[in-house]
Order: sequence, then C-alpha cells, then structure tokens
Amino acid sequence: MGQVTRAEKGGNASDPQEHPAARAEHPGAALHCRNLECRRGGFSLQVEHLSIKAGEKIALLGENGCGKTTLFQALAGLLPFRGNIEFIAPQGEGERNQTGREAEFLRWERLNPEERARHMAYLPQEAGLLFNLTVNEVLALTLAGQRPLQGEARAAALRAAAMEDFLERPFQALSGGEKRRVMLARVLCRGCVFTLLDEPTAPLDMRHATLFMRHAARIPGAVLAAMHDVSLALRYFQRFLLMKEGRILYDVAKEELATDMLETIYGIGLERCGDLVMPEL
Amino acid sequence: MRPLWKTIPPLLAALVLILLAGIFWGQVRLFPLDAITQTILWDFRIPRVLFAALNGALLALAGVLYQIALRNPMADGFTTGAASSAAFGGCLAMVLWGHISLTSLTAIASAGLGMLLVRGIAARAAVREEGSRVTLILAGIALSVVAGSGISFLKYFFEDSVSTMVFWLMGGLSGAAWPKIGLLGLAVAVSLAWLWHRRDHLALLFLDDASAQASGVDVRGLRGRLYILTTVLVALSVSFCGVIGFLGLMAPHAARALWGHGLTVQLLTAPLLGASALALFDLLSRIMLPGGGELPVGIITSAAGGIFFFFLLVHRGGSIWGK
Repeated sequence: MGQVTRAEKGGNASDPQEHPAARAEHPGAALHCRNLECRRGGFSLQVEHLSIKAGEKIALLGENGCGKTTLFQALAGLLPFRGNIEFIAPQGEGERNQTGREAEFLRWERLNPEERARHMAYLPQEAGLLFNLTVNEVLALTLAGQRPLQGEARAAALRAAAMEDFLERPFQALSGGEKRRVMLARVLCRGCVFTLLDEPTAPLDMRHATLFMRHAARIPGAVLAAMHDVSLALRYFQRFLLMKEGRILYDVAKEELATDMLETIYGIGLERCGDLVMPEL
Repeated sequence: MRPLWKTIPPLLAALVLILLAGIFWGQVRLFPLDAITQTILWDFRIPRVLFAALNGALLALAGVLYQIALRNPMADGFTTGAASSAAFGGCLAMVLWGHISLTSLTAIASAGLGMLLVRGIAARAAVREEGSRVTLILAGIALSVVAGSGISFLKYFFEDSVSTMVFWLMGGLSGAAWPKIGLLGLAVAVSLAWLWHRRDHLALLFLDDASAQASGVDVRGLRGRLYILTTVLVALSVSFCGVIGFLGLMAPHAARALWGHGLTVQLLTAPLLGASALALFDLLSRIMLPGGGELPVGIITSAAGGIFFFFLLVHRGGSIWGK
C-alpha cells in the first residue's frame, strides 16, 4: 500500500482552502514535519511528510491505536521524536536573531514548553481537572505571558462550547459531556495558531457537536482534530489525514476522499452518500 | 465560596487569639510581670507558640504541595516516606553522636536520600508519568515501613537512647529556640514567595499532565522542584520537633472543604489553619495534664486531627477532593 501524499502529487492543495481570516491573523504561519519518528512502548509512529498551514481545518481519521494521539503528542512536544518539525512563526511574531532579522524557521523541538504553548493548543482525549474549580477559574488557567482571546472572540468560543451560562458552575458537578465542553472552551479561548483536538466531539450530543464543529471550521487558526464521526468531519473539514498502523496512508482534500480509502483504514465495507458515511449492511 | 478578603482576616484573627492564649495561658501566671515572668515570656512562651505555629504552617504547606504535585489525596510527608526517613536519620544521629544538635542535619540528609530512592524506584517502575505518581506513593509507604523497622532496630540495640528517641518521635515542641524559629520562618516565607512567583505554572498542574505541558508548563521539572521543596520542609520540621502526625494530610483537606479549591485559597488558608491547629494543640498539651506535666503534642495532633477529619468526611466528604 503506497502512501499517497500531497507532496507526491506535486500540488499544494491546502492553499485554496486557507482560511481568509488566518491570512489576516496568523500570516504565513506553518508547521512542517519531515521524517518524524516517534516510539512509545512497542508502537512506532512514522510520518515522512506533513505540512499544516494557518487556517487549515484537518480531520485525522483512523482506527483505535493507529497513532493519532502519538502524533498529537509529538507535535505538542509531549513525546520525544526523531526527525524535523519546523515552525514558521506568523509574520511579525518570529524570533529575531543577533542581526535583528526575523528567523524564518524555528526548530520546534528547541522551543521550550512555554514558547510552544504560545503557538499551539492541545486538547487531550482525557482532559481532566484536580480539585473543584468553577468553569470561569478553569478557563483562566493560562500562563501570564500568553494572550487568551478577549471580547467577542472569547464570547464566540464560549458560545461554540455552549458555556456562557455555566461560568460560575463548579466543574466537578458537571456531566461528562459538559466537562468536555469546558475543556474545549478553554482550548478555543487560547486562540493559538495551531489547535490539536483529540476526539473533541466524542462525548458530545449532536447539537453541541455541531455547534462546536461550526465554530472550529471558522476560527482563524489551524485545527487538526482526531475524529471518529466521519460524516461530521466531512461536513466541516476540508482536508483529511488517514492513518493506519502508525503511518499516514492518505493526505487528501475532501473532494479526493474516496470510500475505498476509508475502507482501507477501517477494514470494513462502507457506503457513502454525500457527507454521510455508513457501514455496509 | 467566600472571597479571600472575607476568609483570611477571620483566620488571621483566630490565629492571633490562639497565639495570645498560648502565650498567657499556662502552669505559671505571667501577671504581674517581673524579671522571672519576663524570662518565661520571652525565653519560653513566645518562642514556643511561634515555633508551634510555624511548624504547623510548614507541615500544612508541605501537604498542599505534595497533594498538588502527586495529584493524590493521600500524599503527605508520611505517605511519601519523607517524614519516616527523616525520623530514622534523626534517631541514627542520636545513637551515633549521642547529641541532639546533629539531628537536624542527619534528618534532612536522610530524608533527601529517601526522596532519591523513592523517586528512582518510581521512575524505573513506571513508563507513564501517571503511573509513576502512584508508584511513588507505594514506594513511599514501603520506605516508611523500612524506616520504622530501622528505628525499632535502633531502639532495641541502643537502650540508653530509647527514652530520648521515643519522646522525640512522638513529636514535641519543647525544643523551641529563636534560631530555629528564624529558620522555619525563613523557610515558610521563601517557599511562599517562590510559589507566588510560579503561581500560574502551579495552577496549571490542576489540569491533567498533557494539558498542563501543552499549556507551557515544564510539568516534570516543576513537579521535581516541588517534591524537593516539600521534602526539605518536612525534614526541617521533623528534625526540629520530631514526628507530628496527620497535620500535613488533614490541614489541606480541611482548608479545601471549608474555603475552596483555588490555588491561592489553598496556599493561604491551609498554612493558617495548620498554624492555628498546632498552636492550639500545643496549648492543650501543656495544660491538659494535672501537676505541670506535658503531653507530647503529636499524640493530640493525631487524635484530634483524626476525629476532626472523620467529622469532615461525614459532613463535607464530597467537597474535600472534588472528584
């Protein structure tokens, strides 16, 4: 099974879908991975090439244990890796070298956690909280040097997670889905160039999942989300990374996503009607 | 939950009242003040109550930090093995050099070695950080048992020092002295100043490790520094006044149940509660026995602390840990 990547096709299909607001808010920002290799226990993740540009909305699909979380953790700097991850800071925000010129590329692994966190937010699968803070206090958990969203952008993030009326509620008194929405709101309120979401909608009902996905599709930064609801992903995302056994088998635009690609990674027969994907009877 | 400006002043007032009671209430009446009662006041009573309050504050602060760093409601100086290994070091100093002045240094060194051992075992045994924290508590409990066995061995073979060891191990505040008070005050002040400086990093440890790290916290480094700081604090307390049980575990839980779970709330209320509690228990230990006798404060701390904790579990159990 050959790896079909955008790079091999010679095209950069991400450009047409680049979010207009991303160009305005995070101009030129991108993350380029080359020959990324990451081992955890007996599992090995290998990614030859992956580029993410500001504004892209990418769904990461694959069966349980195929390496989605490992990829996220490598990108977020939580796991050691081999290979290169280069970060291109948004214009005007790059680090300046001794001659005063802005550095074009930054080695991602050389940034400390605080510097990485200025550009990337990550929602793990099992985001949890020690003690019993109010929702407002959870949203305020951020480092002093970071600039979380304010005003209308923050209000929009809270609306997307349907959290406007929950701000004074104690976190531990919420249901599982509500807790997940608090953590989603916290990540969205950070307003980073890159947002990694590990199964963001898994415990959400249809209404709240839709509210969130609509918002995620509109935010200026890039979103890379591991999804198991393929139909929901097809509805709102434009680019798809299909993973199997630690490798990205396909990196395709929505229009290029074929049913047989999905069948390959999930190992079952599927039927597709527009954005709706269902298992064969 | 009440805002801090409504919570802290009553707590401070209660502490001041307890301190004043500790100073002026005792076997000897201090009024009218003369040369003898002034000596009792400045050389015994005031140092004693300040010593008790600072020890209580320090143990409570260590408890809060252990529980945050290890994300475990059972974490304190005892379950991590720090108190027991410090106690073993102190007992060893008593039998080897027969003199109490080297007890502090040996207790701190011994607690440090215990901490390295427990951390080493936890690091080797667990692949994931989550697992290593549980392993650390288990290794700490095992270390406490081994240190307890070592102390029993010392008691058995060095009969001459048994009474000194037993009295010291039960926890007593009779060794209060101004240099020790200065050192404890400095330890509490420096710790609180550093914690205030790192408060946003520390508060992010309330999140799961992946979220905290991805939010910019060097989780492993911060947790390691917290662990070293708390071990030094516990060892300092044990070396000065023996093993005072339960305060480090109880005060943080009680403070959370009564005043809330925010980081600033915990860092301020738990030490104030610990200081008030130990000063009060010390007063009780001095006046309870008829005929001028003194009960080791550790006995009262464990008994009263345990009963109060039962009360909290029954009435506010759900709000103690917040799970």
